[in-house]
Amino acid sequence: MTDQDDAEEARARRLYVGVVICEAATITVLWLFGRIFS
Amino acid sequence: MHALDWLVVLAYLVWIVTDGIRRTKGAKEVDGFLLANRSLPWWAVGLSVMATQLSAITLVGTTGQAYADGMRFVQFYFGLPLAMIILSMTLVPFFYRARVYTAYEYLERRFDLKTRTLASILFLCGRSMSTGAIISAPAVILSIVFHWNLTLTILAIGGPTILYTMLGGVQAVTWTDVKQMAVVVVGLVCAVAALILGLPHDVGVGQALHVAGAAGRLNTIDFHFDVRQTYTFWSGLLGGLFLHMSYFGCDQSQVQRYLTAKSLPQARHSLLMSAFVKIPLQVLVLMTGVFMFLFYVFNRPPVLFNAAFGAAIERSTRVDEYRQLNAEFGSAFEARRQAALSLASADENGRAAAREQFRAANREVQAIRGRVATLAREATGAAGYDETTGDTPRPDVNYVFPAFVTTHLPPGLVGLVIAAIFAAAMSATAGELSATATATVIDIYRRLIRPSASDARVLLASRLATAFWGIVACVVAHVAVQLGSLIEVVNRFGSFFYGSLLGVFVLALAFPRANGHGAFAGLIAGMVAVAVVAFHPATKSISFLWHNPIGVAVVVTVGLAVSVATGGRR
Repeated sequence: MTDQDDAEEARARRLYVGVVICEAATITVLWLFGRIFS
Repeated sequence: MHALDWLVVLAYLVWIVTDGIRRTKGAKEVDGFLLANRSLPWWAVGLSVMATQLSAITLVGTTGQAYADGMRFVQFYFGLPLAMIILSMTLVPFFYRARVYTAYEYLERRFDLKTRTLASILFLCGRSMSTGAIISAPAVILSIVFHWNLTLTILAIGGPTILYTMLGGVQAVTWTDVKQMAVVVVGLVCAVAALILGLPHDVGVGQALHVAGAAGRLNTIDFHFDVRQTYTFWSGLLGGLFLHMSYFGCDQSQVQRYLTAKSLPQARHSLLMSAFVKIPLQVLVLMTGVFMFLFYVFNRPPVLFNAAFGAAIERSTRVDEYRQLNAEFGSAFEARRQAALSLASADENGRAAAREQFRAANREVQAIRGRVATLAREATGAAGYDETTGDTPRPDVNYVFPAFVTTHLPPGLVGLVIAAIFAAAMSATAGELSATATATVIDIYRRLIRPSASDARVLLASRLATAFWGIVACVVAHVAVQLGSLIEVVNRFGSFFYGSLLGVFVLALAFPRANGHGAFAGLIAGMVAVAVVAFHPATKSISFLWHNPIGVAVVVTVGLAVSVATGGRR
């Protein structure tokens, strides 16, 4: 593994965490949306 | 259709075809034609990944689904972001570093030729049929709504797509996908804007959403665990995870997309783009359906959205009964409209009572629709009117959006939305044609028939295979109209294959002892097991989303058992 590979892996890991946080936030917003208007 | 609409559709077709053909210069050798010389940026590949998945069936069917059943369909996509993460960590680097053209090529390196060939042939059988369905569904709807000739409509979608895919290869597919996604999103946003402008002036969007909520259209998340229900949080998250891992990890039409990226990180980013954008995009599509429901709460809808059935009843002996029901529907609609206006203007204290009043009025409208559906079935013999999606007769669901577009949008915008339907159908079709041509040439022609074929000959074979599968898709699209339920069986056959194929890749990556005999036997056993689950009376109520984890489990279990029995991997 080169330094560049390590940096790419670290960047990919940050993106994975971002995906999980975004999905959790989206599901929460959709759930709240349903609760507020139903 | 207005001349301006024809002009918009024609301009779209000319733009896409010329742009696709312009890419011919980058497709003069096999690597350029099939893999774009691995030169494409992540954002273009990412848009192409989404465009291949989003067909006209999604655009027309999903908006109709939300009109009839609300937002809960979005749960189907909850497993997608997690699937993208897992694939970015596992299969994507594997395929990219192996420098393969097809996903199935890797199966020969890891197992043997028979496993690769079986997987590739199963892909070709399933995909050639489903490409026909991708063209057929919008062609049938457009031909009924606009009274167009069905054959010409199929050719208008299939012909240009075959032309630019055959000449420009995967580069043409990707760059036209980018433009087609833009057309689809702009078309949807314009439709939503028109729907919001169509609400009464004294009803704001927030107030209207209370009406949609009262009708159950905003019940998005269902946390109940029930394997018979397709759209729940758990079936979407777990069943959807396996389905999307199979689709994006093992289906050549998606694998080929990210193999064209200029580097491994860019290939990963292209998939992660879908992980971020897919659910919000699906929310936009579904909100279009919800706003369509609201629009038709305040503006009188046709009693049957599928005008062909309405016209058939008008010609039948039951015409008087139909007109009587139409009049009753008008009165019930007006009562619901008044109840909706009361609900929209109600304050916190009066909202509960207004909501109950609206629900009662809505039930009355649906009851009359149900009687019209029964009449349609009896007068025309259309069996589909036995079933409903949400509270709408099933044959009507796919016609709600086109009916709105043709009767309520201004000239120019109608053309834009039709161009968006064309764009969705063409982008999905082009991706499939490119993938089936690649599997045919790499897994069959160059591997089994002409291993020593020159680059020029393989390139020619790739172009001919694209044209061949394009013609097959158009023919299937044409006969699909007559085949009806048979095409559904063929598509279900494709879904049997998905989970099982993922199982073979799991065997390949996670179990070093698994061998070719095990993988081959496991693939067949997985498909048989899913077929049994799908058709056996005791298990057929299990939602299809659960077929994928079942397929994976059977392939891995049988594959390992057979591998051990045949001496494992040497």
